[in-house]
Amino acid sequence: MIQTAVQIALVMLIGSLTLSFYRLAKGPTTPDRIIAADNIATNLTGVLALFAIQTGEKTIIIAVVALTILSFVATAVYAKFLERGKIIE
Amino acid sequence: MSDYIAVFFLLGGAFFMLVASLGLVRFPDLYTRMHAATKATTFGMGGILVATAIAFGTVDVTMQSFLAVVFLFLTAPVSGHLISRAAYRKGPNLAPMTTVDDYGPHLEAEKKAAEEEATRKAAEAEASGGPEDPSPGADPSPGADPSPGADSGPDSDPGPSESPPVP
Repeated sequence: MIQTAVQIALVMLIGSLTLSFYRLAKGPTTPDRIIAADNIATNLTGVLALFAIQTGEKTIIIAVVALTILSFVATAVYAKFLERGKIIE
Repeated sequence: MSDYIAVFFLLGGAFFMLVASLGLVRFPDLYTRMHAATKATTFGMGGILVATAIAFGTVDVTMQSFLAVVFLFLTAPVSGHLISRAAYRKGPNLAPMTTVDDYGPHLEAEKKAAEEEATRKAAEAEASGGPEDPSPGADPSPGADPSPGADSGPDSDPGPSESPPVP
């Protein structure tokens, strides 16, 4: 039963990814695109967690933790680039 | 029984993620879009990770999922704040239907205070070490301001002709 639920959730996440890619392509300003990229990273992390449930691999959850932290760092660097124009000074 | 709870959290989390992306597409403004993305994505990812912990049911997976949820709840508001601050300082593209903007007057007051601080510091530097090091920017002190303005009234030709080549 949980396999069916995982497949339904995967379809929902694919729809969510499609909508995020639309905003990433269309977004009028750069911050819109940054938010869309952050949302895509979170959705891919969710897909990874669903993959872990479906295959029963425990080690994928560690990758989920690492990707969560990495996506925050990427967003912070984007914000700094927006405000200052350069990342490393 | 635990399967039902896991399915509930899983579908709830996936639904929240779908709603977040729908808000990302449908909302009119950067800030409202960020509200949708940050809040609901945090909720959806939390639901999916709780479902993972329940579906596996072992201690190590539960601890790792808990760690991921804690990091998500800590970092999502911080990144949202960073992006909105940078975007507002670059140029606030508010939606036309916005009624309350509290950060704009605050930013104006901050800028004005910084300017006053700079002029005060320049005046102090001129008062203390004026003869040793004459700085070009510190010339107009508040007391001496009216007399050059009155002087430059008659011969206003050199003033504008001088000022364009400087920048």
